[in-house]
Amino acid sequence: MAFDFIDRAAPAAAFVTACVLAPACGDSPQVSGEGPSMDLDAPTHSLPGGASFEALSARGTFTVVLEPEGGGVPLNEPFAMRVHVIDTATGEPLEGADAVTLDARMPIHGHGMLRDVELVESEGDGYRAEGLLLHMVGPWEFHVDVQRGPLLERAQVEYELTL
Amino acid sequence: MSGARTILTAAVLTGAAAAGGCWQGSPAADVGAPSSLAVELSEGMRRALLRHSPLPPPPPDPTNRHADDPAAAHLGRFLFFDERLSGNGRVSCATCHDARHEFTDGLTLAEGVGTGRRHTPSLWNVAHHRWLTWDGRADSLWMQALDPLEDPIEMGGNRADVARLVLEDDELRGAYESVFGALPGGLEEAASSPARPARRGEEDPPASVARWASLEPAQRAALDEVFVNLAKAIAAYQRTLLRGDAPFDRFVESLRSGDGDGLAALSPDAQRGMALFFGRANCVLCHSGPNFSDGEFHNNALPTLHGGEPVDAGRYDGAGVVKASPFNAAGRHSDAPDGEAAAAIRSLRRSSEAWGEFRTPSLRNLEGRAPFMHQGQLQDLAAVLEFYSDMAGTTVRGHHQEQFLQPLRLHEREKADLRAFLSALNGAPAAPELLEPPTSPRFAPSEGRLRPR
Repeated sequence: MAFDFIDRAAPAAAFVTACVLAPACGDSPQVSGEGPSMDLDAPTHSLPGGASFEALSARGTFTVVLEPEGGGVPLNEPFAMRVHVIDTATGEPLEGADAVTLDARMPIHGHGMLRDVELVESEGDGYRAEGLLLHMVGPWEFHVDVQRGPLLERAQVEYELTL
Repeated sequence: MSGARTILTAAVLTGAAAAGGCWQGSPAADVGAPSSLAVELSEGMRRALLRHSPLPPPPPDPTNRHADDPAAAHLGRFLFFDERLSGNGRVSCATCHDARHEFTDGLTLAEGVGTGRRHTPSLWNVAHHRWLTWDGRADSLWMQALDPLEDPIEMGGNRADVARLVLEDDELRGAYESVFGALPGGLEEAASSPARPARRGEEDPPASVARWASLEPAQRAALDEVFVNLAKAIAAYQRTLLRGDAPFDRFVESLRSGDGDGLAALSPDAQRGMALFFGRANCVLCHSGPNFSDGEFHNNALPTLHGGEPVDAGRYDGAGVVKASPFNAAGRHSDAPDGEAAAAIRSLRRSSEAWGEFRTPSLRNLEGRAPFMHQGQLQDLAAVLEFYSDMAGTTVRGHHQEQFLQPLRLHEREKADLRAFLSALNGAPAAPELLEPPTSPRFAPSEGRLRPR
């Protein structure tokens, strides 16, 4: 089952957070510029096979678990992820979703992917998200929105993509 | 070279410890650093450098089954320099993409039949880009080659005249048919007088547009077939526009192998520039990967050529054009309409946040490519660095732009170091025969495949 994609603006708070988190390195005598610099020596998010990252939704209704296929998120190459939406109350896959969408945003740059991500439901195994591509290093946010009836709730997963 | 490897490894470890989690290199004044390593490299920096070299061969283009056919590339090279393809008979692809000027023209704005609104991008390593032109209005080299042929400002031709040229030039026809097979039936009548579709927003279209509208579908299909095939030949030639290894590649190879001899390929100035590039200056955020371009689109709030607010929608327009075109990777002229490129075009989103964005240019082979940026508004590399240093004259608009950009406040020495590093990205010259047309469009197998030296 495929779901249509809905684009949403990244919350302003996320931008502020990302700015604060970006490390201000490089205050050597040779440099004098303003602004943050990326940390090349930050822990890499190259995940071992089967590893995942997750986040609780805004109202706590569900938890989203993201599993990049191949064990990690590549820089500037297409990739796919498994997306699991788990009901907080039961610990089982969330039931009754009318639509589930996924987007990836880069608040510090004010943009995200310019691609619609297709989510294909797998019986008993969540969804497979295809066509993702993160073209820059730095802080990204995966937004998973679940619509159930008149309600729409988001789980937001932060992810630092490194070189 | 075990001694050199030991020294280098020690220097790397020292750098990693000294960097304290910051990712730029710093001057290697410590005892134990080899003289050819002017900066200390943290482990993260070293990992980043290894990811930027070597530049692999271009990715395959399954949308063009002739992409790597030497005979098609030979024909394409002939066509690339052929002024007969233009409406006035005086403009070829090479007029703007001049091989003597690094496949650009040295001009601010392109000069074809008329004056364009953008600067001519260089074609070196162009096969590495997933989107073509400044705004990505094409998703393959062959799709890109089609538009300038009929653009009234660029070459001002039309697909019927191009087809007639193939019909009437026996040598060209022979070369065409040896690559693509027999010309389609009914082409003579279809190509008997100028014909092309109307262009988007075109006012007062020429008679060729009305004639196109009067043609039967089969006649249009015949003209399209020849038009596309010629573009696929030109694309096959453009895929060969590759340069050899640069000093930076020899430096990285030395890091990879542990053989310290190649470290001297980068001067101390260039190494400091490299540390800035991957470090505080954050150039690598957009100029990432072995081609030093993320291949995507950004709005860096550049000043406009003539002052005032920008009016070029850039990627916002380009995304709409490529998605709607019958010549994209998912279209009927593609040789892989269900492939990865087709999936990318189907999922491409045209969003207002792309307004004013332009494709990140590759920083390999910058030498001789000035002026820079999509309007050629920065006359040389010094002007580019000056802009990113103080960001004077930035434009502000009600659309998306990179919020991350801040003035780098570069010292003069830092600017010189960055220029030295960028110079170290100039690759070895390409084979000289790439730079001029063959005497005949017919391919002789003894000529072999065109590749950089």
